[in-house]
Amino acid sequence: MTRLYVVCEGLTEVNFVTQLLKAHLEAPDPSLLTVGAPNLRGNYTYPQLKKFVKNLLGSPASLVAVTTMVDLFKIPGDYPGIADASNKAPFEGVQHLEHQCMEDIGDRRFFPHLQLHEFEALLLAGLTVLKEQHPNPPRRD
Amino acid sequence: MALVALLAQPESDLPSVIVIDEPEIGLHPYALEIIAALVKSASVHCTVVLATQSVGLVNHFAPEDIVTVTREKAQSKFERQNSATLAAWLEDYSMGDIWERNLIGGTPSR
Repeated sequence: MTRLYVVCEGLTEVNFVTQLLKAHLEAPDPSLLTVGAPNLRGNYTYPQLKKFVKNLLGSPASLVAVTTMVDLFKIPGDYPGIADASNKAPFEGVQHLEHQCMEDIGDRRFFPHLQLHEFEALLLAGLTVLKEQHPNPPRRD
Repeated sequence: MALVALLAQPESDLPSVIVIDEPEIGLHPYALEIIAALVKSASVHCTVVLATQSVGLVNHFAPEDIVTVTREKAQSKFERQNSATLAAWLEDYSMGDIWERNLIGGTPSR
């Protein structure tokens, strides 16, 4: 059984992981994978993120994989590679940062993911899902 | 006051078990600290069970004092925490922080 931890920036991401992503990823074989959504709870520094990830990875032998689900625009100023990221095209910049972070943490069970466009904005691109999640929105007349 | 009277009874008057549902309701964080201390002293002589939704209250207790309840496949899963597995987290976070960071369960399943 592998535990996959998706390190979430906040509650929106936690809800997305536990309500949608978890079921999707565990569906093929629930005995092989279980998904958790630890919550960074907003403002963080890079050393805090690093320690958080390392704590989750635990001992080198543990059956764990870790990824992140944090917004690009909120990453801390001490994030590795940030100095050369701003003069790259958006997707290249994100790839560069993810690569630098992966190198820095240096564990093959860690796959950082940065959200180029703020995750909350993407929710508006899936209105049918939004309606499922909020069947009775408040009326504003 | 009722909580204080209940928990501060002399040893000979304490029942064998005390169960309190959400002792934090309406209490200032400072009062919570006093209640937590009284719970600890009463628990030397009797079993005290608290059900809580308060991060502040949880912060006063050690991992071994805490049992998280998580709903899993229409069942309640009870899990006693332990300081050995949480050692790396406890360097930076209190038990309440760890709970809020969704690391030990005891959070809504949806």
